Amino acid sequence: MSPVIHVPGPLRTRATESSEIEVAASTVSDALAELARLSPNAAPYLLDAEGHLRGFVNVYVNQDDIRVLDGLSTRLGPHDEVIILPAVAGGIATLTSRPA
Amino acid sequence: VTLTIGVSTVDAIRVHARTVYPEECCGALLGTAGIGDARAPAVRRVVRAVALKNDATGNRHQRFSISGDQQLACHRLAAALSLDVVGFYHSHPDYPPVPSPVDHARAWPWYCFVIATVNADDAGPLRAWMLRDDRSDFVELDIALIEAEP
Repeated sequence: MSPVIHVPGPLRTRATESSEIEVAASTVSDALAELARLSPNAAPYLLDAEGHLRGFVNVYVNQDDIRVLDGLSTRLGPHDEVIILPAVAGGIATLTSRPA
Repeated sequence: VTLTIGVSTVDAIRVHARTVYPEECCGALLGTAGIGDARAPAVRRVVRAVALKNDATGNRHQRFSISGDQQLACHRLAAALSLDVVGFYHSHPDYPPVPSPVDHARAWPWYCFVIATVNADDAGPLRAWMLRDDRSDFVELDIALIEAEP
């Protein structure tokens, strides 16, 4: 039994074509690295050039946002789930004129 | 790409947009992605729209945000229904239903983004969009309305 990553659609199609993948990982960082290895195109959505978690993505371990745990260093057990979710936001706030 | 969605689901989104006007509404779209090439499924079928709370910390007339906890709940609900989160919806109060620069900056490819324009009197027709894989622009989706949910 290994931790399972729940991969959202946008990364799933690039990475594994599966919504769940088992990874041999002892930390969230290891798990994301494994996902990035499987799909280099997924990496830009997860980590910035310095290896920090991007602001526009949320990563949960079971029910908890890793930002309130130990971040990327959060340790994983064999039954843990890692859930990757986009940080969805938007709106018209910065627009100064209506589009044609 | 075609977005298949029930008339009642569209009505629910429009009611949500009217209810919270002049603020922006937002929600998740649960359904399936399939038919076509696995890397670019040609169809998104929306089975259910889940109304969510706009978590933007200010200026909700022109901004929306969906918290991670709400996203996680949608993920769990979709899994329980053997569905997927295939997109999101939000409203543009007194503004056309086209993606704004902020929508563009925060969007991810693959998801469908349904936008409803709304004013003080009513909510207008919905339009649906998907960000290209190279993030260069949105492609407008054809909306196929169906009378009953699949």
